[in-house]
Amino acid sequence: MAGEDRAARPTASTSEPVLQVSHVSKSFPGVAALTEVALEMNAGEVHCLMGENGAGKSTLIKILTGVYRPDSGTVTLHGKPMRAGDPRWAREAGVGAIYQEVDLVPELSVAENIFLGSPPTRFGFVRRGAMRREAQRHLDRVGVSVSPDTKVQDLDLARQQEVAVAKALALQASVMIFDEPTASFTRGEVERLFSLIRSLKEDGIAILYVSHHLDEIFEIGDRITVLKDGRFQQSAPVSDFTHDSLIQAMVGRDVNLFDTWVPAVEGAELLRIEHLQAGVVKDVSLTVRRGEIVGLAGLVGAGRSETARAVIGADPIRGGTISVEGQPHTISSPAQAAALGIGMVPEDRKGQGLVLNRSVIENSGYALLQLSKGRGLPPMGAIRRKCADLLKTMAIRPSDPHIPAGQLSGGNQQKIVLTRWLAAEADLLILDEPTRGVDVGAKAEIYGIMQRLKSEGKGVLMISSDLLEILSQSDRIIVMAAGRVRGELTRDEATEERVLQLALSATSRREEEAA
Amino acid sequence: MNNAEAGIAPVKNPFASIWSRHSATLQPVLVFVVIVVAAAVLSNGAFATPANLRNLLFQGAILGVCALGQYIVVITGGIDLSVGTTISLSSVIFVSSMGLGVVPAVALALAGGLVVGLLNGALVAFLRLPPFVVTLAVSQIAFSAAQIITDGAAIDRAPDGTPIPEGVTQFGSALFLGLPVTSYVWVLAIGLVVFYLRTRSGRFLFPVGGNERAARISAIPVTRVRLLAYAACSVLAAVGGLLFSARIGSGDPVAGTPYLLDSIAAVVIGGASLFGGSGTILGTILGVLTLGVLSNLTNLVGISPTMQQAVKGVVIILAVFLNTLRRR
Repeated sequence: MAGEDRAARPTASTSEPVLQVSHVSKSFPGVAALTEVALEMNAGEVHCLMGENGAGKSTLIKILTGVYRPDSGTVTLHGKPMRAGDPRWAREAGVGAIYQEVDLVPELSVAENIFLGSPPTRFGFVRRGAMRREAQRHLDRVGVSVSPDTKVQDLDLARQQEVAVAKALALQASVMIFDEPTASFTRGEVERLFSLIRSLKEDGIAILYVSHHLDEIFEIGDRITVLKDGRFQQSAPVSDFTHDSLIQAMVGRDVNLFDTWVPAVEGAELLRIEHLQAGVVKDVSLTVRRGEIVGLAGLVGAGRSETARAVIGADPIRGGTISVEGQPHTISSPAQAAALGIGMVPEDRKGQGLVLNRSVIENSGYALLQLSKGRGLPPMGAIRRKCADLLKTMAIRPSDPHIPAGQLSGGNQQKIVLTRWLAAEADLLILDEPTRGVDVGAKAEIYGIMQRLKSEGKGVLMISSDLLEILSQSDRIIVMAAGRVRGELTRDEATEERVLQLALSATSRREEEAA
Repeated sequence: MNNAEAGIAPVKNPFASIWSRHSATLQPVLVFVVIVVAAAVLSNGAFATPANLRNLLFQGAILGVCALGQYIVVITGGIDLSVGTTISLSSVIFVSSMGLGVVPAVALALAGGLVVGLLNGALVAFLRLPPFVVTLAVSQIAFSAAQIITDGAAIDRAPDGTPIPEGVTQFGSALFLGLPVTSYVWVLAIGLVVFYLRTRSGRFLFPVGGNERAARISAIPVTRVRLLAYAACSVLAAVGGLLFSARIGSGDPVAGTPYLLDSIAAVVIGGASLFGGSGTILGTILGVLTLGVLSNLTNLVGISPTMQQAVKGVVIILAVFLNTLRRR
């Protein structure tokens, strides 16, 4: 039935673009986010939108989904102009968007989410049976095996995303935007998403795909449009690009991500965790020395972030011991951890890393302000100067440290959180997915900072789901699965296969528990 | 790294850029100026008389002190619904303990406020209960306490018959350099709060209100910051209660009621977000003065007292509208 609907649309023909953006400009107070941007999306085509953080991708997506109103230029959908600044209209006209942070209502069921705002009704009452049946139909089409009655909060992120796709299908979307959909996905989950995207393609849906994973672009994309500094840079079939030429187009210079590693220096032990138990963490023992980067690998849900949170006292501990520089400590708050020289850069920058409405410089100074104990008022002048100097070395863009942190792009936000701990001179940094959602240029910069910290004799514990990142940056790799450490590899013995083998060693068990 | 490379082109209009950076301060100034000009024009010269302005400060001082406390709590993303009853409680403790002498009576009244504040703070900070419900419930308890102390009636003397000394009521109505002495208390309180905002704990009010989880991970002692905020708020309300008793010459178990909503209104008109994390102290001061001029204006222009609340309501809605507009 969904197929019939679509066939009836004029868009099924590939001759005329489904969605056309021409000469679109948009500026915010003090910032021109987009200048004269053009984009053309065709039915059954996966169009990849590429660019560094801050290149204007998010702004363009928000214009397409009707969240922002462009200052000038036109957007046409099936040849008709879009109603600017009207998200509801855009949704009903068939523009669906699937974000990294899925916008579903966690407390409602899958079916209720799919029909949120427009449930089937009779005499003003919701027809629950019909809603459930319809929802099931869309779920089947997406190929996701969840019950329409499941609460969305009980689903993992990958499942939630598939529900979001089903929701867009229920609204008969002819344009579907995937904004960094795979950021927290395992390889298997990425495969599933790709086969879903391929089937959407066959149904003639035009797809806009945004990702920082270049491999994914070459695997799934048909056409690439590159934005740089808010301007249209280049648009061509995927086959016209190579890995390097794409990076070159985005960044405007050559970037080598994986040559940043420098040999570790021998240093004293900073952190020792023994038989840690906390939340899903069942038994974790590990050490981090000065002058090394320890990579903590594993699947999503293996308990890596939970380990980190327990160490800094953000979550309570059930058992085990934590020693810092040889001394056992009971750490009950992140403030206490900071006093011991441990700082954490959380995975969820917006939710846990930054106070978005406060300025860049204020955000970068919190930890130092807390640690600058002394009589009288805190030395704000000195704190600000130190942070301002560090922020300058971080090459944060825009460089004005007084704008709200929320106005910066992901990579630049990450650099603010890093600056916070550099300013506080933390000895041990725990980085949770330090480059997730961060563009290539910023990624290389963050790698550079990590390696520099290490050579300055600090210790880094890096949690990452990006195998290349783990393999290229770590001196030692610890692999976790199902709340336990499954093995440890030196840099030399580590390969993609061996890390994966260890990470998957408890998968069957994980599935048992899920069931 | 130049601007073009960074994808940032400066926008030409300088007013837009000044507004975008300083709108948090400019908005309450604008609202205040509009109301004052309206008052000056509509009242045919009755507004800008020394007597009238003095009267404005007499009324403004009590609310002013209490609104400072509300402001502190609102920045943390909370709200204190017990401000009104804390004023009442402080007022009745003060008068009923007059037998011990003025200074001990002041100390007891402030201690009463501190107890209310620590109770609010402990429930919000340690048990993580929602501030709205906590302060509402604590307000009920404080209300009963105030009623019990005076048997439900306003009192002008302690149970042992000691009246309020004349010095106290003089303090409440005296002028110094042409301005009410109580308004100097307000200025002093402003000074103290400005100082507080510069302490570590005071600076942390903003991140705690802006994003509590991020604040915690950034090593900010969130619990302590919240506890102090509620304690400070209630102590300031207790000062408000003392000013009330000095001005009116009695201890009244329902004296504080009108000040609760006005304190919230002042903070909102001052441009602070009820979601926390933003707002300036200047805004709150202007919010208090705006409310004062507003009720003054309705009196002078001869708007019926029954309509005054409605006018106030309209101004509050306008202010909230401006707040949201500014944040879009």
